[in-house]
Amino acid sequence: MREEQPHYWRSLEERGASPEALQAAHDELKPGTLAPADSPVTGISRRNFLGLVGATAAVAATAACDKSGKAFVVPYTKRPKEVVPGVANFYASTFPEGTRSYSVLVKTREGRPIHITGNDEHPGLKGKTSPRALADILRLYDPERLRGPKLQGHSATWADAEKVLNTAIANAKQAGKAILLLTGASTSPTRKALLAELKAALPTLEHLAWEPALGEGAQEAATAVFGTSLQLKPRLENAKVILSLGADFLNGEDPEAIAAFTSQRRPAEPVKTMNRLWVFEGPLSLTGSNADQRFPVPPSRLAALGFALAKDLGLPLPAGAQLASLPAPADIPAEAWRKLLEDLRSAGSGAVVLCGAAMPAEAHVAAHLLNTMLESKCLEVRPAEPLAGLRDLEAARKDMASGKYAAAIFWGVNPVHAFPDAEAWNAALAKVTTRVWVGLLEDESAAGCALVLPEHHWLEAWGDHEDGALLTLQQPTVGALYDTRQGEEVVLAILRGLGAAAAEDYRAYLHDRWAKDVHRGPVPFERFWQAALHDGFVKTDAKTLALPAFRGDAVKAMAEQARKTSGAFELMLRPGTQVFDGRYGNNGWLQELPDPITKATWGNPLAISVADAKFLGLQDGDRVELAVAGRQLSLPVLLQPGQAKGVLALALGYGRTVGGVAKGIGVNAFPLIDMQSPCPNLIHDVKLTKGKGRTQIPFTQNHHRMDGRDLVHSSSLVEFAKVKKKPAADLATLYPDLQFPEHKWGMVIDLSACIGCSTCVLACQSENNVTTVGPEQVAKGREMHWIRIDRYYEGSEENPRVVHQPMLCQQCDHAPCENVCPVNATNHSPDGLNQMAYNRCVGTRYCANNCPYKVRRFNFLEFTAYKTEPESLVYNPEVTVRPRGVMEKCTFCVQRIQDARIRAKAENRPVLDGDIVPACAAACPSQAIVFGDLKDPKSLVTQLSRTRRGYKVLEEVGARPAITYLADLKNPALEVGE
Amino acid sequence: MKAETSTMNAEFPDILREIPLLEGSVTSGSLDDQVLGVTDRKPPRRWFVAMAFTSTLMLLGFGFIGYTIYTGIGVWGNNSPVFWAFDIINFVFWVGIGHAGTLISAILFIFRMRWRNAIARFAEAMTIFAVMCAGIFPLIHVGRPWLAFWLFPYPNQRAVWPNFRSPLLWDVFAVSTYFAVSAMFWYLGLLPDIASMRDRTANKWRKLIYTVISLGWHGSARHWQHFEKAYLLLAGLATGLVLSVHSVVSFDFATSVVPGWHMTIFPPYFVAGAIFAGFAMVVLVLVVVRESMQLKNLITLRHLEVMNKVILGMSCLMGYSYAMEGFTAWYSQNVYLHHTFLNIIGGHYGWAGWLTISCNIFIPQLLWFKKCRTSYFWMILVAVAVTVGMWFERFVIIVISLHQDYLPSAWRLYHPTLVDFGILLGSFGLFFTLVLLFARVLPVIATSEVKGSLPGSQPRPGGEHA
Amino acid sequence: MELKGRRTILGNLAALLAAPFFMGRATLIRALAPAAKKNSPLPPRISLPAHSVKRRG
Repeated sequence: MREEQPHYWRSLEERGASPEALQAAHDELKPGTLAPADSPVTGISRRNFLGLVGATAAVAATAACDKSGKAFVVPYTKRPKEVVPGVANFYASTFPEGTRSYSVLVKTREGRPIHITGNDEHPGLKGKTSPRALADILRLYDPERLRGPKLQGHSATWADAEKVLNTAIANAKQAGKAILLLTGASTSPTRKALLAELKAALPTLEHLAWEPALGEGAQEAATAVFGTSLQLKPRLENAKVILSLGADFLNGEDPEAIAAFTSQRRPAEPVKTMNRLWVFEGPLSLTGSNADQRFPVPPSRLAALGFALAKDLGLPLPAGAQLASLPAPADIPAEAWRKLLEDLRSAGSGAVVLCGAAMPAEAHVAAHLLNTMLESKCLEVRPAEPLAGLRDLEAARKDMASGKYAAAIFWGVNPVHAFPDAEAWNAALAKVTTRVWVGLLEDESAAGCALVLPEHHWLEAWGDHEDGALLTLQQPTVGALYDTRQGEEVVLAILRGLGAAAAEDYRAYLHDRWAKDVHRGPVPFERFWQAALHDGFVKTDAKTLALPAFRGDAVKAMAEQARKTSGAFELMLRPGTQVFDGRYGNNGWLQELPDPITKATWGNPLAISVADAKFLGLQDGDRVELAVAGRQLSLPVLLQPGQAKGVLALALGYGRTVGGVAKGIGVNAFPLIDMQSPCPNLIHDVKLTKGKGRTQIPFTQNHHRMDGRDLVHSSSLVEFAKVKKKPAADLATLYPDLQFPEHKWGMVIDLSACIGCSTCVLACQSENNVTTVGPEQVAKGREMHWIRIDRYYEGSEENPRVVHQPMLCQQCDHAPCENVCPVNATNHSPDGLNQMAYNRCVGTRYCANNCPYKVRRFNFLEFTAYKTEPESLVYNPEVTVRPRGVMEKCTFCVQRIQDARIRAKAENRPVLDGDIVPACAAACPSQAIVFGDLKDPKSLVTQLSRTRRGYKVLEEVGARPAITYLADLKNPALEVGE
Repeated sequence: MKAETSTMNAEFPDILREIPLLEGSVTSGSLDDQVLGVTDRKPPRRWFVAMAFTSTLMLLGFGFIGYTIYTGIGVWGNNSPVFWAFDIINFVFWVGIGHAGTLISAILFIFRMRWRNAIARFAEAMTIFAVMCAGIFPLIHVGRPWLAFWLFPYPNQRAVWPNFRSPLLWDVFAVSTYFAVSAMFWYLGLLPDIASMRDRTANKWRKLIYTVISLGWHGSARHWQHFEKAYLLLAGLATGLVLSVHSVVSFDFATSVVPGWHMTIFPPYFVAGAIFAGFAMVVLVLVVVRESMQLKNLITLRHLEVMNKVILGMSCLMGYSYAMEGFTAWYSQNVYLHHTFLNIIGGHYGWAGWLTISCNIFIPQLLWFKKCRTSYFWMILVAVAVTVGMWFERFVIIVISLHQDYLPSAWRLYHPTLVDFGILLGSFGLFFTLVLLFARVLPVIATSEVKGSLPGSQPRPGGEHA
Repeated sequence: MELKGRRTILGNLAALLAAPFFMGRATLIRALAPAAKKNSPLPPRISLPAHSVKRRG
């Protein structure tokens, strides 16, 4: 839609690099998990009956390609009531992730979970969820999961393990010695109550809840300014102006925020007003890439910027707040500053200032100050448990070293990986008599513990979680796969050992507590309970918390702190987009999910600004030496357009040393953290020198500019108002027009709504059994994702405009791929789909050459090594598993289309608009993807495809794609970019 | 049908002289001894050395092919978007090389260029071997080669036919037709010579084998009549194939939507390139053959000179084609085609583009000079340059166009692997192994045809034999 | 020299035929008998959750 061509620039091209042989056993055949252990089904025993049925369903799906063995399909003789083969069951549950939890719906087939979506009944989420929630189903079937307790490295029974544990605890109690319990954060009130009971029975228990990757600035600021730790959840439905100080709120972790933000960004006809997002940040984040107006600012200067804004805002300061005179940051043009103040003032309570978790406390204080001054109505206050910081952990370490603790229990944390001084930690740990580890996958910390207790995966476990005015429930969706217990049941076992009355299992405990504390209303509790499990949540009377009074006197000190400047380089450490704090390192889906901005996979290169890289003579992949206070790290760099000069960014959670998939991927950034610093995630005085050699970074996209091609229509709201819709190009064609008797399936993808979070990529992978290929194969260009998000930069390297474009099979009417397949393996269906017959494909790959969108994926090697359990259990039985030598691509989730058509036929009605939701459309938190019948004039997809923003990609090739893209409109404050 | 002799040529000016077909005195008997007798003698030492080398390459190639079939196409460098690379480059390369043989044996026969008689047999053999080498690649480049037979239209109970609209299927027909016709043509031409060998040999086993494969030829007038008719028919068929086969191969590219492939110049451009590359290979092989098998009087320097002139002519045609590609890219105002062309001369693989242009256009211009046309050193240099240049031309067409086409997000570089090179070298090994075997087992010159152009072999008007 | 050449050719042939013996047992077994029985860890059992309430079937 642009009338004038934007200025494009030289790209940051990948050069041929010699790949570094990565340490881990990443042979090409590795899927998301270890190379398959040959564990054949050992025979039909009554016990394994159901297991066998589950297995054979998976094997039956792979039988076409598995030439090796025959499998037996055994029917039930006595079918369990719940399971109808071929019909899916759904369970509501909750995915816990430290300080967050996500209400989800889990689809199971033949008794085993295969797909996760958001809970559709949840009033806020409305069926959406985070990318990591979708991907975590793979961890249920991780072959490295502990299958039973271990004592001194040997298998043990739970009875033995409990005896050892309880003896140690009893001894400790008798001797009056302290016991350390180190856990991750949790949003579960019942677990909190249980731990309180434990504390009551064991007064010397010291419980630390620790989230190593999140940073400590938010908690410190909240405590300083509000007197208590709290969580501020953005509520952007009515936000007119959003100012982000390094806050990546669009990164997928908060689907409600994404939905609310994008709901105001789909200008319909006539064009309504759009909200406006201002972003000031150091590295380029996903939120920054969707900003209407963005400025690269080093994170250490964001606080000063915030305070300067408060000073210039012209609104009354809260009582006691004093702001010393701070100059406006020099890099912000005066005009932009003026416009920002204008926006904030005119939006008033419809404005909100968000601050990134990794930012220092003073930046958070500045944000709180601004929100208070603006009386922002766009934040929801939620209580947050006070978390331990690094100083608390260092104190605990010292105590361990001094022999204070008789026992230490680690549950859901990995301090050997995440504590900055691992050696000191291990040395201190050695002084603790009894060391217990509770977790799912053995990690670096389990190695040092004599007692290793395997816990359930959350899909096998009970729980409840606070979610604002809701209380969500977590229930098992499958019986425990192995001899594991829920972590809370270890606590119950300890309580029993101490002689305190304890429920027999956690379900009973939860059930009883809910009967006592949660049950409300006239409905008898059992009905209430069943309904709650059915829905996945209940509404509580928790009133919306008001923001506590702002303590103005804290401002002065914080503003002083904001004056500090940094040396040549400052290093920002943030949780990995994919692996978070490292806990998902063994999840191949997440490792191979391209970072939404860098498109790098399988590792954490050091992001550096283009200007700095040029100065140092660095290219993508060149190795550098990072020196921080005596510690050194050698790693590859990645040139990041839009990153502020002088800023380095590195993801935490990599450099694991345990885990078949996680091992050796990336570098461990945790040791760089300065424990004494008030803001451990932002490190000043970093030295960077060029190193030797180069590591090939496995990118899924190597070229980052559109080169003058009209692929993503992107313009500003103002410009777009002047543009008239061009009629569809009348291209001559040799091919006859296709007739579609009943339906013609099509799609609309709204680029204004798409933020590039890549949740759709994971949903598609889960639904369609898309395999992972490993870092060497990604580097060669053989990743298998059926949908990808193309990310292009426009404009300058210092502060580019960024556009995201989901690209999937366009199901072209005149598909170039269909003509050229010599064996007719791909052809067109009467309802508009380009069909791919895997069985017929011999693999000449002509179709992929002829696809102008390059959405076809070829199985270059036997990537689907999930031939054995447990990995093969994650497969969706409705979708073929493709063997080596076969081409595959997006099918518009044809299995869902057929499912809907069959149901409609059975119910004697036509297929209705909205019956069919492909996995990507279901997962997209901003509803950017709409699917439907283009032959139905009333369907949403038809109406959207006719709007003025609609266009087709590569229309001039004449393939007649069935997907209409809606142009991306931004709402910049300034006339010309920057 | 006059017999040309050197005495007749004395009456004409130099430039109009017909090429003498042979040098020195040659009789039927001496021809038989010189050509047919090769198979009676033990192969010389250098044959074994050469054979050792080529068969090693060939076996290595087979090993790599086996590894590829066992593990998957992933052991090659192919990726997204460069889904075709060495596999199809090699295929087109070898099919192209075969065209020289058919042109020499069929087209030149129809035009009654008698000088082709001495070289036609070898050239035709090279065509067959080249097509065999080429045929390996469509088979092994597919992801599931054990199902490659699905490309053939055979009635089956699933009632599934292949897709006749696909250029790959046209390839199947074109290349198999080419192979079949060439093989038949070649075999037919061999019959009189095999019969001669049958009559000469004293070895019991050889006599048996030759008897069987000579199909009972005994040189009667009737036989010759049938022979001449069949030969002419097959030559006519093969003539069409020279133009059609590589045009069909070019359709693999020309009918696609890939920028840089989708061009109408491709069919004639490919055919010219094929003849070009084929003649270069023929020149290379014949130089070696005439020296090592002492056939200098039959495969004369003039033969080589004429072939070099063809190479020069084709090089000029190729130059025109490249210029036309550049012009088309500019004139089309198509941003995608612009980009592809700029990639050829200045992109990451621009070195391959310039290598192609140098080897195919610049270096062969040396052949304007008679000294180069008749000197071993220069003609071998040019022939090798053309072979390398024509391989790289296919590299440029396939890899450069594919690695950066419509969507920049899909752009990626291509890096061949050891297996790719191993199979390429293996195909050369296979080709030259077959050539070496052929040279020892069958007559490399069509003695029956050469005999037909010896002085005194054809009846003169008036019934006398001159 | 000629003998050397002959020997090379025969050597190649012999190498080709002997290759299976050098591929290594693992490769050979994978090619011929994929599912070799080994000591396998406890296989996962799929069972229904005892007290959960499903949303819909």
